[in-house]
Amino acid sequence: MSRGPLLPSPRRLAAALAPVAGLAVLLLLWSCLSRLPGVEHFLLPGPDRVALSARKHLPELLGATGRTALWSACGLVCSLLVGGAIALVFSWSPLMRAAFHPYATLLQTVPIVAIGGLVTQILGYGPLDNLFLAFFLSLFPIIANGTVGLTSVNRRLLELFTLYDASPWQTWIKLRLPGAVPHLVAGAKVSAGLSVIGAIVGEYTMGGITEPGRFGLGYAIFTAAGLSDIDYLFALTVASVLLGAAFFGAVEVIDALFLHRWSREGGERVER
Amino acid sequence: MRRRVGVWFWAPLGLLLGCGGPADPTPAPKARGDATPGLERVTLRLNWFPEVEHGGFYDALIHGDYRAEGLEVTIIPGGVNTAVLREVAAGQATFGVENADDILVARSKGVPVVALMAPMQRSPMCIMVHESSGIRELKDLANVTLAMSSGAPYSVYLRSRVPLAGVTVVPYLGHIGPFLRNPKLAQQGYVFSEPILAAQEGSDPRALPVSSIGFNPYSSLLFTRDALVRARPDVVAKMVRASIRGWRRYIDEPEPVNRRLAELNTAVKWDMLVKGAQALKPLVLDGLDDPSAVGTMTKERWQTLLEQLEACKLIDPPGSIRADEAFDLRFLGRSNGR
Repeated sequence: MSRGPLLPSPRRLAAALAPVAGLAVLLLLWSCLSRLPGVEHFLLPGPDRVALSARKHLPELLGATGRTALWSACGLVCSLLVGGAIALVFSWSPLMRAAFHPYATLLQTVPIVAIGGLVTQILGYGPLDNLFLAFFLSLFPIIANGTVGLTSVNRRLLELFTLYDASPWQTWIKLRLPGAVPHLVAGAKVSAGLSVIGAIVGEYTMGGITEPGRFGLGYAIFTAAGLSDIDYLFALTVASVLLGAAFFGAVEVIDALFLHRWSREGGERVER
Repeated sequence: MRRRVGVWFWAPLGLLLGCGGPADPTPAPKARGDATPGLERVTLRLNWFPEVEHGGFYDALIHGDYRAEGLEVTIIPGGVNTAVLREVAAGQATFGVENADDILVARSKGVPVVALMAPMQRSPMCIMVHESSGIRELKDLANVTLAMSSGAPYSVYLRSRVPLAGVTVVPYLGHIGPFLRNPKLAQQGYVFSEPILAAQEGSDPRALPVSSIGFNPYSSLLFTRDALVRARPDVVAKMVRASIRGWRRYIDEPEPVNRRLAELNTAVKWDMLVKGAQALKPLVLDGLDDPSAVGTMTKERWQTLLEQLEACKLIDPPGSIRADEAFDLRFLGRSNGR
């Protein structure tokens, strides 16, 4: 990527402003929808009501979002570590892969409601439950993409390594691992959103607040709905969506900053 | 089994599917099947899976009370995340079943619903403790882990009234497994449900009614939206009359309805239905001079409840609603003794 001129060209300016304009259009659309006859404010509150409610509950909203963000982030890191390790095992041993990879797929289909009680019994009441569910939900994309990344090697490059008599260790470090990075990044992008969903649904189905007031988005959503506070319910929904988007963005930023070298197809060199 | 607070998680989805609900106040024509000519179709949305707390409505249905009034009623069972209040307010269902505290709180948030009759004079909400804990009354509740929905009105009230020394409040997971395993655990419940189930499982439950510390909202209320009361008072009156008949019959002869409930809700065992209906009867008749007054409501009770909710900061802003806008006594007929 070459650097642009100091002054943005009109085309670049338009490209930068496009998302802002898009947001404005979407907000306007939302606002119009909420004002249609027959659309009651307790079914679809307008953005103005939601913003007012968010301001009113701001400390609680930020606290809940922060705690959910923490649980999701920890869960995501755990699934990167564990999922990465499992992917390594799968790529090392075709037998292990044949034996267990089909069942890793089932992780995707376990109904959370069914295992909620079990998780709580093992981990006890507390935020650990939510962290676990964030981990559990975000694990599979890492395993799947990591395994694909580690096993699909450019055949010609592999032949080149063999030709130069590279040791298996060198082949791993210099060829297979870098080659897996783009796949892992793609997996992490999917998992980023899932980890947030996991933390919220975990808190919703299992709870996890052992200290009064120290709850996350799941509990806040639960309570707002129970008390018919629909404006706040939407504010919390927006916060959840933004949190998921922020996680996705964070993965992109980390990719751009640190993994850029390998994220390009096949680990090709990038001139700088 | 489990007990809810009337909570709606999937609300955003529901509104996407359901927005633009009919603004006209005619009864929702959503029920399927062929209409019998001359009968007006209405729906009744429950706040939970069908259980004894809905018995009287099923009684009126299976004994033909609704049909005798000219109504073709379809009862739609609820679930864990049923948004009864908003569904009825938006006209997706004609009538709904919900508790008085939820109705007042929703009304203060601008959800236009109005209560019509009160099947249960005494609230079934209780805290269930182990007999072995030595706790005999709610005010003595201390040194236990307490599983309850901490945002629910009764729960906020409980914490404002009882010191709860040494009590750790944890979320209620919706089943009594933890209670059965842990003698130091207390949990929320309905007196005719969880304690009976726990006893059947060989535990030593003791039910401490939340009404014993003064929080006593009418329960399993029949309600509808404001607009229907204005536009179709005739339909409302028929619905209330027939429902009262059903409730009066159910508390004396619960068996036919219990058989239906057992078919509809396979999670509830027959024994529980029998014992549950027995435990329900005193709640329905509590404080009534005459069994024919089943369903009655008083302004004083509603006013007390509103003041309690305001003290708990659950009516926001305080003073935003009056008690008498949340209920309508005109349709109670003979039941409206006071």
